Amino acid sequence: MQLNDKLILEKLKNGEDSRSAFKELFELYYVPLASYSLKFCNSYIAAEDIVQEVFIKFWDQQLYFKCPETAGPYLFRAVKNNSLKLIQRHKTIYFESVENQINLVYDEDFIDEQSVEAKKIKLYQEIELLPAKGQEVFKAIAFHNKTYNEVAIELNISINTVKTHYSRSLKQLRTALYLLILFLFIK
Amino acid sequence: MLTKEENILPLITAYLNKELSHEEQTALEEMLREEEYEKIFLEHVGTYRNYRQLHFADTVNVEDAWGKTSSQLNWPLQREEKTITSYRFSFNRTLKYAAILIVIMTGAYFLQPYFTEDQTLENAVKDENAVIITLADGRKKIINTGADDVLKNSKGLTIGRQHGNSLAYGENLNSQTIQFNTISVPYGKKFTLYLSDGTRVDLNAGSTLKYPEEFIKTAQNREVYFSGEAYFEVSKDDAHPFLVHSNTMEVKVLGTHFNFRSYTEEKSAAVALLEGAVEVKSKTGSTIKLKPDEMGILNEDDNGLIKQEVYAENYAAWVEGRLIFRKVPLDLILKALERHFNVEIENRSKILKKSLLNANFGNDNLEQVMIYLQDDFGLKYKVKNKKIILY
Repeated sequence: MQLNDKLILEKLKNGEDSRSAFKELFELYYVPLASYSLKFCNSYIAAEDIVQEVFIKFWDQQLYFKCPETAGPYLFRAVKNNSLKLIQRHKTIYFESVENQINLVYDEDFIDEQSVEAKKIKLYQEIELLPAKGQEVFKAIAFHNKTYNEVAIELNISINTVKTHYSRSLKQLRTALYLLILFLFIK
Repeated sequence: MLTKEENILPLITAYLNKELSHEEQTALEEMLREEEYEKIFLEHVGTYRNYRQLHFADTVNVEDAWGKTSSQLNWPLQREEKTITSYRFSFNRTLKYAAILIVIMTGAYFLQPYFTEDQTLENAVKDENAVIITLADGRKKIINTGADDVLKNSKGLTIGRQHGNSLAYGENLNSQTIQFNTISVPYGKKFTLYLSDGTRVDLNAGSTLKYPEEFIKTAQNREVYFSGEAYFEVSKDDAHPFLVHSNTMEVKVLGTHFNFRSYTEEKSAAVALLEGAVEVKSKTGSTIKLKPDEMGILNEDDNGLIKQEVYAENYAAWVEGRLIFRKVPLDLILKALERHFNVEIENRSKILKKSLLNANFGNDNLEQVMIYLQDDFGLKYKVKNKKIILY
């Protein structure tokens, strides 16, 4: 990843085929950056918009000239700043110092496609192991951003039942993730 | 006795759902000083964030994102030919004969007005209309945006002060009954109103708002009537909710910032929330509540209110004169351009009829926008008889 970044950055600076180089950079970092932004702003749409704006500025103001070795550090920093600005404006409560420990997962050098792929399969398998209702509730809340109330109406169960299912699911899934986080701390 | 985990879990889920109250926030912060609580917190929040991220990464379409982004870039020097152009070429070739046939059939009709010489875009801009305010007694007042003026009611009392493109109410009139004024903003203009409670309303071109010259304390609600597009910054007053009525829906707020779009000539109406909370009610009775960066949309065809996650700031960008469109059909983009530039646009092209488009015209002038449509969407333009024709 870093190697690619370096090559692309050189092309951008030299102005040779810069347009396709910029596209390569976009394809390399778009998903990691958007996922990184999601950690803060927690909105699918906002995360994508923030990353797109960062790329537009990067191109229009030729910020690649300001990157010494690779573009990654600048891009991640810009996405983080803009995401934090957004949640500040919305007055969303965000425990940055505590959550930073989770964000370690998305530091720039983390992105290794194979390990992401393996992790993905593992995590999806864990969801399949949840009881049916727990699965539904978890997916509705974590994937589709629904509120307890909406899930309760949709599944025709009480809000308290939704809460119970949700916390049980989190508990069970967490045990799987626990190892992963521990591993990251050791690293 | 509850375990530590049972203690903290409700707070964690409230935190993740952005529903944490002030007291709960303090309680949670207190708990997180303890190592064991912090560990539980990290595990749960980490699980949630990781899963949500994973699902997100799976649903992201990089190609789409690139399309949106690249269409907004300023490509320097030579503009490389885009794939859409070559597509257009082959498309043209196959349709050549059909096209010739159409020209012949309709030629007699079209040729007649088009034998006039080529016209420039400036010719397409219509004569300016003025902002007009209809006072409570029915008098109409033409606003001269180049000057300052005061607005007086039938008793001769000053009710508002106009300064250029804005008009501020809020004189202490001690009104006993509600006296409505109505403002209408023509195509090609924008106008800012400060209502008597301090609420700011930025009105986009082609909008109308009916509002009291002074909100009265004895009325339960602060009510205004609206069509068009406006950005509201409503002053907070919990005792008197602010209600905006349009012909298809109603927005109820306490104090908040939102963009409301409900042009009568369009089939859908939408409210995008930037700050605070609002309740949107359709005339048919369904109700939804919006959080920041959510948009409530009402389609006249299916009559249901739906909720969408958006980047709400884009929907209010017009206030600063920037034109940004996200997933908007071409005909609505053209309608917005007509209002913004005070022109008439006729679209004879058959392309892009069904797609939802993204575009960011920034502060571009009419010519730049037309070039953009040509380069990025493949729509050529010409000006005939004070009308812009896309083909």
